[in-house]
Amino acid sequence: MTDTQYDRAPGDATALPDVEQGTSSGVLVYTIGLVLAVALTAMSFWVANTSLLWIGGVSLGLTVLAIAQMGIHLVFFLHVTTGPDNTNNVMALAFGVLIVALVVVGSLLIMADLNDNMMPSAELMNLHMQH
Amino acid sequence: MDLRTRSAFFTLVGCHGLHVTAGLVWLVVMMARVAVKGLHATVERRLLCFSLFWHALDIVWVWLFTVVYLMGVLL
Repeated sequence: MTDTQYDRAPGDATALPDVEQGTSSGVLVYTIGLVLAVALTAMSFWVANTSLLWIGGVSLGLTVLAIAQMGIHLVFFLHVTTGPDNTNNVMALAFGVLIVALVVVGSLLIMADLNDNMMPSAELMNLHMQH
Repeated sequence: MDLRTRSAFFTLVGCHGLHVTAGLVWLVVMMARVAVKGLHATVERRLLCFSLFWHALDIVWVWLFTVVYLMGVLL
């Protein structure tokens, strides 16, 4: 029981100053992230405005580009990595995504259900139209 | 734009704008802090926390401009 798990939160400074520097921080990493983010944003705008692509696939393409860019942000700016010192962060992120997904999907479900049930019947609608 | 689209647009973009404004205030405070106190451990930690907030906000913005602006072009 002597091996201590070394977990680092994103806000924490490194306890081992000279060992982990440069792995996921530094000007170069931020520059790469910036270039990728700008490229993905430019691609998104091109996809949305072009007439070269099949119109049905555009929204899917935009979704893919957006998710890719979120991944870029997570890796290059928020420094979420797959390293062993990052397990807690990944778990916290996954939990956060789960909770947000539950709230959003649940809200949409409930609102759609309410909308269906509260919709006035056809006769009622016609009654309204007459006045 | 119908009423629902408009209310969704202004709620989403407006809330994001409020968060960005708060982040900008935080940014100015951090700049003053660094200018006055220099980059010692406490300031550096707060700076890292601010960067978490700021880049998380950026992730929200990616989703936001995709849904509100780019998907809106398709309609």
